[in-house]
Amino acid sequence: MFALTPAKDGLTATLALNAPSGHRDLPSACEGLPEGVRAVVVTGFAGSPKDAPAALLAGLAVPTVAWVDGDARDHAAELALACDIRVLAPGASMALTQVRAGALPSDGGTQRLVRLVGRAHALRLLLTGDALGADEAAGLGLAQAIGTLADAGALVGRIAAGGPLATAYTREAVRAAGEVPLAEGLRLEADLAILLHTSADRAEGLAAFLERRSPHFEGR
Amino acid sequence: MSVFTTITYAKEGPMGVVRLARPQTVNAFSVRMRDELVEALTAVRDDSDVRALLLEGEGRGFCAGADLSEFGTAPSQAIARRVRFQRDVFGLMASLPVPTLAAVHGACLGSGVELVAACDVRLAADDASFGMPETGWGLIAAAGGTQLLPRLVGQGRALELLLTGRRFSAIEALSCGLAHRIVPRAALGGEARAWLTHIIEAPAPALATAKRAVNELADLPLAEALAGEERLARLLGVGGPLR
Repeated sequence: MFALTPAKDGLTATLALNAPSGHRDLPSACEGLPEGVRAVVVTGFAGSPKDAPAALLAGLAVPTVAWVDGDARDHAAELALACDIRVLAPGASMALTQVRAGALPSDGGTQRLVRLVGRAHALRLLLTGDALGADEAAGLGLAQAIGTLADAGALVGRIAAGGPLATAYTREAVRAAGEVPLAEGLRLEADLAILLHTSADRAEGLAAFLERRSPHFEGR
Repeated sequence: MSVFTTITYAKEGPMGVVRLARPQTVNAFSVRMRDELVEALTAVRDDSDVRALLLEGEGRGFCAGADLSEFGTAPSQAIARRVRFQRDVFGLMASLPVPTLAAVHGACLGSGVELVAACDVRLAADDASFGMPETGWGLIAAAGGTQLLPRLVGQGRALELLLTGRRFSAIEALSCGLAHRIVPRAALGGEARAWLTHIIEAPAPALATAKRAVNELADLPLAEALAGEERLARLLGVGGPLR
Protein backbone atom coordinates (compact mmCIF):
# COMPACT_ATOMS: atom_id res chain seq x y z
CA MET A 1 0.00 0.00 0.00
CA PHE A 2 1.00 3.64 -0.45
CA ALA A 3 1.08 6.14 2.40
CA LEU A 4 2.06 9.79 2.36
CA THR A 5 2.97 11.17 5.78
CA PRO A 6 3.82 14.87 6.23
CA ALA A 7 6.54 15.73 8.75
CA LYS A 8 5.60 17.76 11.84
CA ASP A 9 6.82 21.04 10.33
CA GLY A 10 4.71 20.40 7.21
CA LEU A 11 7.65 21.24 4.90
CA THR A 12 8.59 17.68 3.99
CA ALA A 13 6.79 14.37 3.73
CA THR A 14 7.54 10.69 3.46
CA LEU A 15 5.94 8.61 0.73
CA ALA A 16 6.08 4.90 1.62
CA LEU A 17 5.60 2.53 -1.31
CA ASN A 18 5.17 -0.58 0.85
CA ALA A 19 3.16 0.73 3.81
CA PRO A 20 1.10 -1.77 5.88
CA SER A 21 -1.93 0.49 5.45
CA GLY A 22 -2.83 3.39 3.19
CA HIS A 23 -4.00 3.83 -0.39
CA ARG A 24 -4.25 0.92 -2.79
CA ASP A 25 -2.85 2.93 -5.67
CA LEU A 26 -0.08 5.48 -6.03
CA PRO A 27 -2.18 8.20 -7.73
CA SER A 28 -4.55 8.37 -4.76
CA ALA A 29 -1.64 8.62 -2.32
CA CYS A 30 0.04 11.38 -4.37
CA GLU A 31 -3.17 13.36 -4.69
CA GLY A 32 -2.98 13.78 -0.95
CA LEU A 33 0.28 15.78 -1.16
CA PRO A 34 -0.51 18.66 1.18
CA GLU A 35 0.01 22.29 0.19
CA GLY A 36 3.21 23.55 1.76
CA VAL A 37 5.19 20.32 1.41
CA ARG A 38 8.39 21.31 -0.40
CA ALA A 39 10.26 18.02 -0.80
CA VAL A 40 9.45 14.33 -0.39
CA VAL A 41 11.53 11.33 0.66
CA VAL A 42 10.29 8.14 -0.97
CA THR A 43 10.85 4.81 0.80
CA GLY A 44 9.86 1.15 0.53
CA PHE A 45 11.17 0.37 -2.95
CA ALA A 46 12.01 -3.23 -2.11
CA GLY A 47 8.62 -4.91 -1.97
CA SER A 48 6.75 -2.08 -3.68
CA PRO A 49 3.71 -3.08 -5.76
CA LYS A 50 4.46 -3.63 -9.44
CA ASP A 51 1.62 -1.52 -10.79
CA ALA A 52 2.84 1.87 -9.49
CA PRO A 53 3.63 4.13 -12.46
CA ALA A 54 7.14 5.66 -12.34
CA ALA A 55 5.89 8.67 -14.32
CA LEU A 56 3.79 9.65 -11.34
CA LEU A 57 6.85 9.95 -9.11
CA ALA A 58 8.73 11.85 -11.81
CA GLY A 59 5.74 14.16 -12.18
CA LEU A 60 5.40 15.15 -8.53
CA ALA A 61 5.44 18.92 -8.18
CA VAL A 62 8.27 18.94 -5.62
CA PRO A 63 11.74 17.34 -5.55
CA THR A 64 11.88 13.67 -4.59
CA VAL A 65 14.68 11.85 -2.79
CA ALA A 66 14.56 8.06 -3.02
CA TRP A 67 15.87 6.23 0.02
CA VAL A 68 16.64 2.73 -1.16
CA ASP A 69 16.94 0.10 1.54
CA GLY A 70 17.29 -3.60 0.70
CA ASP A 71 17.29 -4.83 -2.90
CA ALA A 72 15.44 -2.62 -5.38
CA ARG A 73 14.95 -4.90 -8.36
CA ASP A 74 13.33 -4.34 -11.74
CA HIS A 75 10.24 -2.19 -11.37
CA ALA A 76 11.32 -1.09 -7.87
CA ALA A 77 14.59 0.12 -9.36
CA GLU A 78 12.71 1.94 -12.12
CA LEU A 79 10.69 3.78 -9.47
CA ALA A 80 13.92 4.86 -7.76
CA LEU A 81 15.32 6.04 -11.11
CA ALA A 82 12.25 8.26 -11.51
CA CYS A 83 13.14 10.22 -8.36
CA ASP A 84 15.36 13.31 -8.59
CA ILE A 85 18.03 12.10 -6.16
CA ARG A 86 18.87 8.66 -4.76
CA VAL A 87 20.31 7.78 -1.34
CA LEU A 88 21.23 4.11 -0.90
CA ALA A 89 21.45 2.45 2.50
CA PRO A 90 24.89 0.85 3.00
CA GLY A 91 23.65 -2.69 2.26
CA ALA A 92 21.18 -1.73 -0.48
CA SER A 93 21.39 -2.68 -4.12
CA MET A 94 19.68 -1.86 -7.40
CA ALA A 95 19.29 -4.13 -10.42
CA LEU A 96 17.34 -4.30 -13.67
CA THR A 97 17.10 -8.00 -14.47
CA GLN A 98 14.16 -7.97 -16.89
CA VAL A 99 16.32 -8.59 -19.97
CA ARG A 100 17.75 -11.74 -18.37
CA ALA A 101 14.17 -13.02 -18.14
CA GLY A 102 13.44 -12.20 -21.77
CA ALA A 103 11.54 -9.00 -20.98
CA LEU A 104 12.33 -5.28 -21.10
CA PRO A 105 12.26 -2.64 -18.38
CA SER A 106 9.22 -0.71 -19.52
CA ASP A 107 8.64 1.98 -16.94
CA GLY A 108 11.48 4.26 -17.98
CA GLY A 109 14.34 1.97 -16.98
CA THR A 110 16.16 1.99 -20.30
CA GLN A 111 15.76 5.75 -20.71
CA ARG A 112 16.39 7.09 -17.22
CA LEU A 113 19.32 4.75 -16.55
CA VAL A 114 21.22 5.85 -19.65
CA ARG A 115 20.72 9.52 -18.73
CA LEU A 116 22.09 8.90 -15.25
CA VAL A 117 25.09 6.65 -15.87
CA GLY A 118 25.83 6.97 -19.61
CA ARG A 119 25.35 4.50 -22.42
CA ALA A 120 28.17 2.06 -21.68
CA HIS A 121 27.29 1.48 -18.03
CA ALA A 122 23.56 1.41 -18.80
CA LEU A 123 24.05 -1.33 -21.38
CA ARG A 124 26.32 -3.30 -19.07
CA LEU A 125 23.73 -3.19 -16.27
CA LEU A 126 20.74 -3.92 -18.54
CA LEU A 127 22.37 -6.77 -20.44
CA THR A 128 23.98 -8.51 -17.48
CA GLY A 129 21.30 -7.78 -14.88
CA ASP A 130 24.12 -7.27 -12.37
CA ALA A 131 23.09 -5.77 -9.04
CA LEU A 132 24.85 -2.56 -8.05
CA GLY A 133 25.81 -2.13 -4.41
CA ALA A 134 25.70 1.26 -2.76
CA ASP A 135 29.39 2.04 -3.32
CA GLU A 136 29.32 1.19 -6.98
CA ALA A 137 26.01 3.03 -7.50
CA ALA A 138 27.55 6.12 -5.91
CA GLY A 139 30.66 5.78 -8.06
CA LEU A 140 28.59 5.68 -11.25
CA GLY A 141 26.45 8.68 -10.28
CA LEU A 142 23.36 6.51 -9.87
CA ALA A 143 23.28 7.23 -6.13
CA GLN A 144 24.14 10.69 -4.90
CA ALA A 145 24.78 9.55 -1.31
CA ILE A 146 25.03 6.48 0.88
CA GLY A 147 23.20 6.80 4.17
CA THR A 148 20.40 6.04 6.58
CA LEU A 149 16.79 7.15 6.38
CA ALA A 150 17.75 9.97 8.76
CA ASP A 151 20.43 11.07 6.26
CA ALA A 152 17.85 11.09 3.45
CA GLY A 153 15.52 13.05 5.76
CA ALA A 154 18.25 15.61 6.43
CA LEU A 155 18.77 15.95 2.68
CA VAL A 156 15.09 16.68 1.96
CA GLY A 157 15.07 19.03 4.93
CA ARG A 158 17.89 20.95 3.33
CA ILE A 159 16.08 21.12 0.02
CA ALA A 160 12.89 22.27 1.78
CA ALA A 161 14.80 25.13 3.42
CA GLY A 162 15.50 26.70 0.01
CA GLY A 163 13.16 29.07 -1.76
CA PRO A 164 10.30 26.96 -3.21
CA LEU A 165 10.16 28.89 -6.50
CA ALA A 166 13.95 28.90 -6.85
CA THR A 167 13.95 25.17 -6.16
CA ALA A 168 11.17 24.47 -8.66
CA TYR A 169 12.83 26.57 -11.39
CA THR A 170 16.22 24.98 -10.76
CA ARG A 171 14.66 21.53 -11.04
CA GLU A 172 12.85 22.50 -14.24
CA ALA A 173 16.04 23.89 -15.79
CA VAL A 174 18.20 20.90 -14.80
CA ARG A 175 15.64 18.49 -16.23
CA ALA A 176 15.60 20.51 -19.45
CA ALA A 177 19.40 20.24 -19.59
CA GLY A 178 19.02 16.54 -20.36
CA GLU A 179 16.57 17.14 -23.18
CA VAL A 180 17.40 20.31 -25.11
CA PRO A 181 20.51 21.74 -26.78
CA LEU A 182 22.73 23.91 -24.58
CA ALA A 183 21.71 27.22 -26.15
CA GLU A 184 18.03 26.54 -25.52
CA GLY A 185 18.73 25.42 -21.97
CA LEU A 186 20.70 28.59 -21.26
CA ARG A 187 17.82 30.69 -22.57
CA LEU A 188 15.34 28.84 -20.38
CA GLU A 189 17.60 29.32 -17.37
CA ALA A 190 17.93 33.05 -18.06
CA ASP A 191 14.18 33.46 -18.53
CA LEU A 192 13.42 31.60 -15.31
CA ALA A 193 15.98 33.73 -13.45
CA ILE A 194 14.36 36.93 -14.74
CA LEU A 195 10.90 35.62 -13.87
CA LEU A 196 12.19 34.87 -10.38
CA HIS A 197 13.21 38.56 -10.10
CA THR A 198 9.52 39.34 -9.71
CA SER A 199 9.00 36.99 -6.76
CA ALA A 200 8.62 37.89 -3.11
CA ASP A 201 10.86 34.94 -2.21
CA ARG A 202 13.82 36.38 -4.07
CA ALA A 203 13.41 39.74 -2.32
CA GLU A 204 13.15 37.93 1.01
CA GLY A 205 16.27 35.86 0.27
CA LEU A 206 18.32 38.94 -0.59
CA ALA A 207 17.04 40.85 2.44
CA ALA A 208 17.89 37.92 4.70
CA PHE A 209 21.38 37.65 3.19
CA LEU A 210 22.08 41.35 3.73
CA GLU A 211 20.60 41.29 7.26
CA ARG A 212 22.56 38.09 8.06
CA ARG A 213 19.47 36.16 9.13
CA SER A 214 17.69 33.02 7.88
CA PRO A 215 15.18 33.68 5.12
CA HIS A 216 11.50 32.92 5.55
CA PHE A 217 10.10 31.80 2.20
CA GLU A 218 6.42 31.62 1.32
CA GLY A 219 6.65 30.25 -2.21
CA ARG A 220 5.35 33.32 -3.99
CA MET B 1 42.22 49.28 -22.89
CA SER B 2 40.66 50.76 -19.81
CA VAL B 3 42.12 50.32 -16.35
CA PHE B 4 40.68 47.32 -14.57
CA THR B 5 39.85 47.53 -10.87
CA THR B 6 38.21 44.16 -10.19
CA ILE B 7 40.41 41.91 -12.32
CA THR B 8 43.91 41.98 -13.76
CA TYR B 9 44.83 40.89 -17.26
CA ALA B 10 48.40 40.10 -18.22
CA LYS B 11 50.14 38.26 -21.00
CA GLU B 12 52.71 35.68 -19.98
CA GLY B 13 54.29 34.61 -23.25
CA PRO B 14 51.55 32.93 -25.30
CA MET B 15 49.21 32.81 -22.30
CA GLY B 16 46.55 35.36 -21.37
CA VAL B 17 46.15 35.38 -17.60
CA VAL B 18 42.92 36.77 -16.15
CA ARG B 19 42.94 37.05 -12.39
CA LEU B 20 39.88 37.91 -10.31
CA ALA B 21 41.12 40.68 -8.04
CA ARG B 22 38.65 41.82 -5.41
CA PRO B 23 40.40 39.95 -2.58
CA GLN B 24 38.68 42.00 0.13
CA THR B 25 35.39 40.33 -0.92
CA VAL B 26 36.90 36.93 -1.89
CA ASN B 27 36.44 38.08 -5.49
CA ALA B 28 32.66 38.47 -5.25
CA PHE B 29 31.33 38.63 -8.81
CA SER B 30 30.08 42.20 -9.28
CA VAL B 31 28.56 44.10 -12.20
CA ARG B 32 31.86 45.86 -12.71
CA MET B 33 33.74 42.54 -12.67
CA ARG B 34 31.33 41.21 -15.25
CA ASP B 35 31.96 44.18 -17.54
CA GLU B 36 35.72 43.99 -17.10
CA LEU B 37 35.71 40.25 -17.79
CA VAL B 38 33.76 40.85 -20.99
CA GLU B 39 36.43 43.36 -22.04
CA ALA B 40 39.38 41.14 -21.10
CA LEU B 41 37.90 38.01 -22.70
CA THR B 42 37.09 39.95 -25.86
CA ALA B 43 40.76 41.01 -25.94
CA VAL B 44 41.80 37.37 -25.55
CA ARG B 45 39.49 36.36 -28.38
CA ASP B 46 40.71 39.08 -30.74
CA ASP B 47 44.45 38.84 -30.00
CA SER B 48 45.95 36.19 -32.24
CA ASP B 49 49.12 36.13 -30.12
CA VAL B 50 47.16 34.73 -27.18
CA ARG B 51 47.12 30.95 -27.47
CA ALA B 52 45.59 30.01 -24.11
CA LEU B 53 43.63 31.51 -21.23
CA LEU B 54 44.36 30.96 -17.56
CA LEU B 55 41.71 32.07 -15.06
CA GLU B 56 42.71 32.36 -11.42
CA GLY B 57 41.75 34.24 -8.26
CA GLU B 58 43.73 36.52 -6.00
CA GLY B 59 43.69 36.27 -2.20
CA ARG B 60 41.99 33.77 0.09
CA GLY B 61 39.68 32.14 -2.42
CA PHE B 62 38.78 31.93 -6.09
CA CYS B 63 35.31 33.52 -6.00
CA ALA B 64 32.73 33.71 -3.21
CA GLY B 65 29.87 34.00 -5.71
CA ALA B 66 27.73 36.87 -6.93
CA ASP B 67 27.98 40.17 -5.08
CA LEU B 68 24.46 40.04 -3.62
CA SER B 69 24.79 43.59 -2.26
CA GLU B 70 24.22 44.73 -5.86
CA PHE B 71 21.19 42.54 -6.51
CA GLY B 72 17.94 44.38 -6.96
CA THR B 73 19.73 47.37 -8.49
CA ALA B 74 18.78 46.52 -12.08
CA PRO B 75 16.38 49.13 -13.48
CA SER B 76 13.85 46.56 -14.73
CA GLN B 77 13.44 42.90 -15.54
CA ALA B 78 13.37 43.68 -19.26
CA ILE B 79 16.71 45.48 -19.07
CA ALA B 80 18.18 42.81 -16.84
CA ARG B 81 17.26 40.18 -19.41
CA ARG B 82 18.75 42.16 -22.31
CA VAL B 83 21.98 42.79 -20.42
CA ARG B 84 22.17 39.11 -19.48
CA PHE B 85 22.62 38.25 -23.14
CA GLN B 86 24.63 41.34 -24.15
CA ARG B 87 27.27 41.02 -21.45
CA ASP B 88 27.52 37.28 -21.36
CA VAL B 89 30.84 36.49 -19.69
CA PHE B 90 30.05 32.82 -19.55
CA GLY B 91 29.04 32.47 -23.19
CA LEU B 92 32.09 34.49 -24.23
CA MET B 93 34.33 32.22 -22.18
CA ALA B 94 32.82 29.11 -23.74
CA SER B 95 33.19 30.56 -27.25
CA LEU B 96 36.93 31.28 -27.02
CA PRO B 97 38.88 29.34 -29.67
CA VAL B 98 41.88 28.87 -27.36
CA PRO B 99 42.09 26.35 -24.52
CA THR B 100 40.91 27.75 -21.18
CA LEU B 101 42.00 26.54 -17.76
CA ALA B 102 40.62 27.51 -14.37
CA ALA B 103 42.94 27.25 -11.36
CA VAL B 104 40.77 27.17 -8.24
CA HIS B 105 41.75 27.59 -4.61
CA GLY B 106 39.81 28.32 -1.43
CA ALA B 107 36.13 29.15 -1.74
CA CYS B 108 34.50 28.72 -5.14
CA LEU B 109 30.77 29.35 -4.86
CA GLY B 110 27.81 30.09 -7.13
CA SER B 111 28.98 32.29 -10.02
CA GLY B 112 32.52 31.08 -9.25
CA VAL B 113 31.51 27.50 -10.04
CA GLU B 114 29.73 28.72 -13.17
CA LEU B 115 32.88 30.52 -14.37
CA VAL B 116 34.93 27.39 -13.73
CA ALA B 117 32.36 25.17 -15.44
CA ALA B 118 32.65 27.34 -18.56
CA CYS B 119 36.40 26.58 -18.79
CA ASP B 120 37.77 23.60 -20.71
CA VAL B 121 40.06 22.25 -18.01
CA ARG B 122 39.75 22.66 -14.25
CA LEU B 123 42.59 22.37 -11.79
CA ALA B 124 41.77 22.52 -8.07
CA ALA B 125 44.08 23.23 -5.15
CA ASP B 126 43.71 20.78 -2.27
CA ASP B 127 42.16 23.57 -0.18
CA ALA B 128 39.43 24.36 -2.74
CA SER B 129 35.80 24.00 -1.68
CA PHE B 130 32.76 24.37 -3.87
CA GLY B 131 29.05 25.01 -3.48
CA MET B 132 25.93 26.29 -5.23
CA PRO B 133 24.08 28.20 -2.47
CA GLU B 134 21.56 30.01 -4.70
CA THR B 135 18.28 28.30 -3.80
CA GLY B 136 19.00 28.84 -0.09
CA TRP B 137 18.67 32.57 -0.78
CA GLY B 138 15.65 32.22 -3.07
CA LEU B 139 17.79 32.53 -6.21
CA ILE B 140 18.68 30.24 -9.09
CA ALA B 141 22.04 29.66 -10.71
CA ALA B 142 21.62 31.92 -13.71
CA ALA B 143 24.95 31.91 -15.51
CA GLY B 144 24.83 28.43 -16.98
CA GLY B 145 24.93 26.46 -13.72
CA THR B 146 21.70 24.56 -14.32
CA GLN B 147 22.86 23.59 -17.83
CA LEU B 148 26.62 23.02 -17.46
CA LEU B 149 26.62 21.20 -14.12
CA PRO B 150 24.33 18.35 -15.28
CA ARG B 151 26.54 17.98 -18.35
CA LEU B 152 29.68 17.80 -16.20
CA VAL B 153 28.55 15.82 -13.16
CA GLY B 154 25.30 14.13 -14.25
CA GLN B 155 21.69 15.05 -13.59
CA GLY B 156 21.32 13.37 -10.19
CA ARG B 157 24.46 14.89 -8.71
CA ALA B 158 23.69 18.32 -10.26
CA LEU B 159 20.22 18.36 -8.69
CA GLU B 160 21.58 17.28 -5.33
CA LEU B 161 24.24 20.02 -5.33
CA LEU B 162 21.92 22.74 -6.67
CA LEU B 163 18.95 21.93 -4.43
CA THR B 164 20.84 21.45 -1.15
CA GLY B 165 23.54 24.10 -1.64
CA ARG B 166 25.96 22.05 0.44
CA ARG B 167 29.69 22.71 0.31
CA PHE B 168 31.91 20.03 -1.18
CA SER B 169 35.63 19.42 -1.25
CA ALA B 170 38.19 19.36 -4.04
CA ILE B 171 38.27 15.56 -3.73
CA GLU B 172 34.53 15.32 -4.32
CA ALA B 173 34.81 17.80 -7.20
CA LEU B 174 37.44 15.50 -8.70
CA SER B 175 35.35 12.36 -8.25
CA CYS B 176 32.23 13.87 -9.79
CA GLY B 177 34.02 15.40 -12.77
CA LEU B 178 33.94 19.09 -11.87
CA ALA B 179 37.72 19.15 -11.29
CA HIS B 180 40.17 17.27 -13.48
CA ARG B 181 43.18 17.28 -11.15
CA ILE B 182 44.06 18.29 -7.59
CA VAL B 183 47.43 19.77 -6.68
CA PRO B 184 48.88 21.17 -3.44
CA ARG B 185 47.85 24.77 -2.87
CA ALA B 186 51.43 26.07 -3.14
CA ALA B 187 51.89 24.38 -6.52
CA LEU B 188 48.62 25.59 -8.11
CA GLY B 189 49.95 28.52 -10.16
CA GLY B 190 52.96 26.60 -11.44
CA GLU B 191 51.02 23.45 -12.28
CA ALA B 192 48.34 25.47 -14.08
CA ARG B 193 50.94 27.18 -16.28
CA ALA B 194 52.79 23.93 -16.92
CA TRP B 195 49.59 22.12 -17.91
CA LEU B 196 48.42 24.89 -20.20
CA THR B 197 51.90 25.12 -21.75
CA HIS B 198 51.74 21.40 -22.45
CA ILE B 199 48.26 21.70 -23.98
CA ILE B 200 49.28 24.45 -26.39
CA GLU B 201 52.21 22.45 -27.72
CA ALA B 202 49.53 21.07 -30.05
CA PRO B 203 48.85 23.16 -33.16
CA ALA B 204 46.38 25.97 -32.41
CA PRO B 205 44.02 25.17 -35.34
CA ALA B 206 43.69 21.57 -34.14
CA LEU B 207 42.91 22.70 -30.59
CA ALA B 208 40.34 25.25 -31.79
CA THR B 209 38.71 22.70 -34.08
CA ALA B 210 38.56 20.06 -31.35
CA LYS B 211 36.83 22.58 -29.09
CA ARG B 212 34.34 23.40 -31.83
CA ALA B 213 33.67 19.72 -32.49
CA VAL B 214 32.92 19.01 -28.85
CA ASN B 215 30.99 22.19 -28.08
CA GLU B 216 28.98 22.59 -31.27
CA LEU B 217 28.18 18.94 -31.95
CA ALA B 218 27.57 17.57 -28.46
CA ASP B 219 23.79 18.00 -28.51
CA LEU B 220 23.17 16.76 -32.05
CA PRO B 221 21.94 13.28 -32.99
CA LEU B 222 24.97 11.02 -33.54
CA ALA B 223 24.69 10.80 -37.35
CA GLU B 224 24.57 14.59 -37.71
CA ALA B 225 27.40 15.01 -35.23
CA LEU B 226 29.59 12.54 -37.12
CA ALA B 227 28.94 14.40 -40.37
CA GLY B 228 29.82 17.63 -38.56
CA GLU B 229 33.05 16.11 -37.30
CA GLU B 230 34.02 15.06 -40.81
CA ARG B 231 33.30 18.59 -42.07
CA LEU B 232 35.45 20.12 -39.36
CA ALA B 233 38.28 17.67 -40.09
CA ARG B 234 38.18 18.70 -43.77
CA LEU B 235 38.23 22.37 -42.77
CA LEU B 236 41.33 21.61 -40.75
CA GLY B 237 42.80 19.97 -43.85
CA VAL B 238 43.26 16.51 -42.47
CA GLY B 239 40.66 14.75 -44.55
CA GLY B 240 37.77 12.63 -43.54
CA PRO B 241 37.55 9.51 -41.43
CA LEU B 242 39.65 6.42 -42.04
CA ARG B 243 38.21 4.11 -44.64
